[in-house]
Amino acid sequence: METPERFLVLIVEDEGSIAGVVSAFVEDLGYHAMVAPHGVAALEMARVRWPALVLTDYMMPLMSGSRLVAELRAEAVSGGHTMPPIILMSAVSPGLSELAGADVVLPKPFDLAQVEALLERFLGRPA
Amino acid sequence: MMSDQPPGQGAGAGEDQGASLLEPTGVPHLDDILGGGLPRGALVIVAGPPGSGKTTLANQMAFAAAERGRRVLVLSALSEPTSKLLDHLRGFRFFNQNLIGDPLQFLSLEHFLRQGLEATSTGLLATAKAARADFVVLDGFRGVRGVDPDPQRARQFLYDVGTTLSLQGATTVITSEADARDPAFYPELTTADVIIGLHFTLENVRHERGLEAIKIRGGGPLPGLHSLILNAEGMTVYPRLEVRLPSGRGMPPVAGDRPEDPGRLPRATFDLPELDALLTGGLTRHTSTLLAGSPGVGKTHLAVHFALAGIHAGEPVVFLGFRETAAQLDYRAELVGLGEAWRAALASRGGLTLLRDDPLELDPDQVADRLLGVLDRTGAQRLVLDSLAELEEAVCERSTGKRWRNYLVALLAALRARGVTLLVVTETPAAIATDLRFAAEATAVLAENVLLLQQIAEHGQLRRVLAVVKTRFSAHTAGLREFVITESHGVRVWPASPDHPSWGAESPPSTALGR
Repeated sequence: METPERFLVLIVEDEGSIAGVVSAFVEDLGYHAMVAPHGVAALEMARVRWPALVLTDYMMPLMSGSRLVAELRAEAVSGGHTMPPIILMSAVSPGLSELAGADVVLPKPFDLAQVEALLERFLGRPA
Repeated sequence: MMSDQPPGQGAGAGEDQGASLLEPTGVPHLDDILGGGLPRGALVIVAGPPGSGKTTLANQMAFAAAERGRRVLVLSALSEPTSKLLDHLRGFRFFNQNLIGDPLQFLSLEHFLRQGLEATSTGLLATAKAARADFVVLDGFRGVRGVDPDPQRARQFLYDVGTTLSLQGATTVITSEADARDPAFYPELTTADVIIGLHFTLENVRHERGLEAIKIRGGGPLPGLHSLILNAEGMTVYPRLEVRLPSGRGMPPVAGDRPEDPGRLPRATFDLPELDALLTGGLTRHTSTLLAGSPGVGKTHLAVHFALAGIHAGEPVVFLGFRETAAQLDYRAELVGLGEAWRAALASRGGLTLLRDDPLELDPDQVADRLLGVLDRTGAQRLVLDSLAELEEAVCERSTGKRWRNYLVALLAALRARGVTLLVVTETPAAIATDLRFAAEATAVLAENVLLLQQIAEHGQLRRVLAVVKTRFSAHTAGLREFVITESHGVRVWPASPDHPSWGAESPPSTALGR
């Protein structure tokens, strides 16, 4: 049986409506979603359940997406975890996205089909 | 937050020190209205009804601050995703994608709002601190106010946020959907250091926008309602012309103090010897002259002569027209043999600047701003305005008739301060008169000189006549003079005939137009 964490997606988004739609979509596809409203909450959640993939906004209160990625890297090293793929959903310029250390940038507004394709690419399809 | 200072001590006394404590808004002319800019660390409220442009104005300031290197946070309490807001802002020229993310961030307060006002205040301040923001926009205070209906709690929220951010060195701009003069809004207003009111009304079939600097703690804003334009550039404010003069703000420094005695300066001629002789050499410098006449009598032709005479004398000239298009003016000049001179004057370095506005929903303060800017840029010494009626219409359309006189006084003062000699065309109602009539309208009272042109029926023929009705700082020759408009030389004023009002033996040549 596959452990849930293999398909665990951490969604970090300060706008509740976007977070709600994306998480419902992710769950419908068979993945498992954790939703955090900002980077601080996301880090706390990740320390409890290490995600398989992180879908994060760049501009967020309290801790930006860029800072979250850096913190997750540090956490991965100290906790012996595999650094999850980072998908950055944002309106920032491509250069800034690159600096954030994301694997993929999903410019806002994005299509949910793009999210599905990325999940499948990085995590495979759940059974 | 800011301590109270004696009023009028903003950009006035101690100006150098005061100026460094102000930051530019990035909105054209708004700094002039505010008395130099936004006080650093101030709590600014931008209040106005839906659609008045609060979000655009606040974000235009945010982008301007980011361009200056400030760390900017835009926090939205509106019920729309920030991506939608960014899509809306992308349509404006002030939008710069490269600033998004760093140093300009757009965040939603939605998560905190769900937890109450206190959590919102705490979250907002923590976010601003983490971002090291020194310019913060909170867009949609209505969303914050909706969390707790108690107005005192809302006031406390504003006070806590404003005080803390100010202590951190941040200037805070909050947009609020409210009528700034609604008494229900007063508890919140007392907390603010700066209150900017945006007006947005439907007048007949037109939308009209305005901006009011209601309060600047420690400063002296330009009073009253100022014109506000919203277009692809974003927001542009045009200060009300009448209030720009006394304070000197919003008016660029005039070259020198114009100490010359206008009476000692060479006259502004028409290069029409008979007419210039009637005026004892021409128009006194720095005066305003009303060129009044019935329709089709030749006022614009005479105005063209005046403009070209200035060019001939080496003076830059501005021709502001609302009636005829550039092509029509060119054709008119061509018709009377002045086409080549006119086109040469309009060419680069020719000295003549033609400004043209369609007489359609004109904004008088925008017209004045553009005109004064061109006068300053070109150093023009002559201005032709064709005609006064369109400008009067523009002023009266947007306000009561009472404003027209004040606007005219302000405009004439601005022109005088720049050493400009003005010729303004205005129409009198009667097309043909058997005697000269002239009503001393308010406009005529304000003009220092009056030239009157009319068509007179005499012995079964129509004749064009002119008279110098009034010159305030000069002698002039009274009496009627016939003039004609020729195909080769434009206007020609005939010498006085020995018998007045009959015209004597010398008849105009058959090439004269209209005969």
